[in-house]
Amino acid sequence: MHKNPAFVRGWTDALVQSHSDGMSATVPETLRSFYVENRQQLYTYAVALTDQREAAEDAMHQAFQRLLHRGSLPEDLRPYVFRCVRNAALDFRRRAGVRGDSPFEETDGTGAVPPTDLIESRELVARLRELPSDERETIMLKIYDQFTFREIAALRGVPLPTVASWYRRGLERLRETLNRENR
Amino acid sequence: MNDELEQRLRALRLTRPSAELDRRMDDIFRQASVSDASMPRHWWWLAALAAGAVAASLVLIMNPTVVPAPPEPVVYHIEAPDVMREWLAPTSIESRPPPVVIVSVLPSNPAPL
Repeated sequence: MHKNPAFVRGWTDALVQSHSDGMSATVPETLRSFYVENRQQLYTYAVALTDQREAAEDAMHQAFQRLLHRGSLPEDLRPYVFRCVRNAALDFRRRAGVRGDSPFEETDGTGAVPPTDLIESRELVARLRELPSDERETIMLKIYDQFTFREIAALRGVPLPTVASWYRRGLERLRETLNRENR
Repeated sequence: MNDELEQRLRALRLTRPSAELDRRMDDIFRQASVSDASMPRHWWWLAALAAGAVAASLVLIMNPTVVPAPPEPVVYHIEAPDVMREWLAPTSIESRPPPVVIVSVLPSNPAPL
């Protein structure tokens, strides 16, 4: 027997503690909850990047498959997962080319929206697609994924003023184009 | 001006991911959970091994083995009570009985005589 029981107790307590910490939330459980909470935002982002709905779904699937093989995850999961989906989506886009799908519904489906509004919406979607990719991606992240400029800067690995500038110029370009067409 | 445009953009209806994607994602999460569930078992094997090694080390450290005392010299004292001179004479050994000798073992550090 060890002459210092407090020492032995400390060891066993440390082992039990480290085990219970490891069991608190596994990587699959954490990623599953993240997916459930963010699937719509991730999908919108992936479609905007790939321009193809099937490719966007494949990219999401591939990104999560890769993430599940990681032993651990960072505390701030959101930018990390979005970056993984972005990388996978850009890979798919490079391989498959551009098809022209949009992350927006082309029709209302219910018939409740006046046709004039639908035409305006289609016009807006078309002009949004024509924007330079950095500006369009920033608008998508800010408006549909509720990212802050700081988060977008971290995700893209660029300075914050660059992101703010992409967003402002993108919206200005969009407004000018729409105004020109409506004249 | 931008606020109004932002409102219009927010009002656009988004396409939704398909049920097929949800099914595929569910599959990979389930597979990962199954393989992940076996991890604690492996972990406990390693923990048990490490704990055993630590316990053995502690036992060795706290209960050092008894080191045997260094060997002490044994001193034999041989005493011949009879006269030994005649044994020095060049005569046949078979013609005499063997000499009587007294052998005693002394302590390693005998008291000075």
